[in-house]
Amino acid sequence: MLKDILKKKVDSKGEEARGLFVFQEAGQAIRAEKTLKKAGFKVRLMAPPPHIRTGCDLVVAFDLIEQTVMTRELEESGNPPLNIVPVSDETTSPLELCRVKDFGGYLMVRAANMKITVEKGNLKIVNISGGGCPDVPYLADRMIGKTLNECEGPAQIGFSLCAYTLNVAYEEIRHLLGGAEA
Amino acid sequence: MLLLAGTVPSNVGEIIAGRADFGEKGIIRINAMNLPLTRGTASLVGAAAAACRYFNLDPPYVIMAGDIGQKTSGANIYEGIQAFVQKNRVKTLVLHYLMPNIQYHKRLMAVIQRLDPIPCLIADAGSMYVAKAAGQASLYDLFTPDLGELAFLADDKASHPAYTRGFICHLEGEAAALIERAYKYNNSAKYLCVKGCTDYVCCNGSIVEKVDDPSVEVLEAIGGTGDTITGIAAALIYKGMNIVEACSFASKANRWAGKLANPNPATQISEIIKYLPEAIEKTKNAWADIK
Repeated sequence: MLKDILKKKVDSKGEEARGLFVFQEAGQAIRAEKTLKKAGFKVRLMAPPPHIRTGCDLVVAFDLIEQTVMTRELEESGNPPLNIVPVSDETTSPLELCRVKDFGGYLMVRAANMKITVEKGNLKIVNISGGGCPDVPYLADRMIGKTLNECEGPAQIGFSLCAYTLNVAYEEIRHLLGGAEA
Repeated sequence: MLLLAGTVPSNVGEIIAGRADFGEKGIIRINAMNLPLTRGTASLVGAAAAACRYFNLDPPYVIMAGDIGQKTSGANIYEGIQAFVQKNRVKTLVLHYLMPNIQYHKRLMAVIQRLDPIPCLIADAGSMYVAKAAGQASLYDLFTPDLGELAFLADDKASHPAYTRGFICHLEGEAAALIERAYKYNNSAKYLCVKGCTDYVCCNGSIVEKVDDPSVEVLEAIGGTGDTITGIAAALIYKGMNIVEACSFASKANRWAGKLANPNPATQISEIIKYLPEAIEKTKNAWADIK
C-alpha cells in the first residue's frame, strides 16, 4: 500500500511521498526528530491529520523511501513509533516565530503561547510563563534557577506540545544570550 | 459550589480532592496538606481561594491529579469531574491544566450538558485548547486566553497554539481583529478575558471593557499571573457578579497584587498571591467609587 502511495505521489506531483511517524506523546516525537536529524535524515515535526489527532500531539514527517532504515534507527534508540501512516495535505507545521522583550537586566523570549525569561548577567532562567499542558509547571520546577548552560532543555525533559514550543523559545534565548550549544 | 479541576506537577496520577482554604501568608491547604503555589492550577486555586475567603464564600472545591505531561492523569481526572458534577450541585466550573484529549473532553461535555442547571463553564490553559480542538468552544461561558492563545483561537485550522499559522500575528494592536475572528469561526466562548499589557473583556466577539491600570509590565514574564486572573474571576462569578464585571474586577485586582509585590522578572507567583487579599480590598474600594 505504501509503495502505491509513493508511486502515485511521485507520478502525479513529481514530489517525494512522505509518511508520518506517530507516537504516544509529543515528547517522544521531539526526541525522534532529534535522533533522526542527528543520523542525517531530513525529517520535520508536524501536526497530525485530524483523524488521528488527540489535541496535544506531534508527528514526525519523513521521506517514505527511507521508512525502513529510519524505523530501525528509532527502534535502536529505544523510541519506536506507535504507528506509521502516509502523509495527507491536512498537516501543518509548528510555529517557530519568536518575539523578544528586553526588561533591562532580563530578557524574555516568547514562542506562540510560551515565554522564558533569563537574567542576562548570569544566564539564570528566572521565569517560565504561559502554556496549558500539564508539564509546564513541571518544566518550570526543573529549569528555573538553573543557567542556560547547566539545565536540560524542554525537548529533553518535556512531553507535550507546550514543551516543544518552550523549546523553540529556549533555543532562541540561548542563541541571543550565547548559552553553550545543546 | 465552585469547582476547580486541573493538574499538579507530580508523576503520581492519584486524584487530590477537597476544599481549598486560603490561610495566613497565602498558604493554601487542601485536606490538611499545604499546596505549593507553583504556576498552573495551584495558582488558580490560590487566587480563587483568596477571593472566596475575602468575600466570605465557601472555599472552592478542587479536583486535581498529578501529571508532569506523561498523561498519568489520563481518563481519571475527566471521569472524576464527571462523577462529581453528577452528584453535587456545581454552580461554576473551571477546567484548567488538563492534558488535552478530544475524546475525554467530549464525554465530559455530554455529561455537563445534561445537568440542570448547567454550571457556568470556564476554561483556561489546556482545557481551552481541547475545547477549541474538539469544536466545542461555544459550549463555554468564558475563556481566559493570553494574546498567544487568542491567536490560536483565531486560527480556525490550528489544533494547539503551537500550530498557529504565522500570518495570524500576536500583536497587542490586533487583539480586536483576533477576537472577532475567533468568535466568527465558533472558536470562542461567549465571553473572553484576554490577558496582556491591556486586558480585554469581550462579549460575543466584541471588546466591552479594557483594563490597563495599574500597569506592571514585568507581570508578563511571571508564570501564573494569568492563572490568578482566572481564579479571581471564577470566584466572583460564583459570587453572582456578571461575567464582564467579574473579569474587569479580577484584572484590576491582579494588577494591584502585582504592584503591591513590587516585582521584577524573577519574582515567583507565590509572592504575588500573598498580596491578593489587600489587592481585592483596594479594587473593591475603587470599584465602589466607580460603580
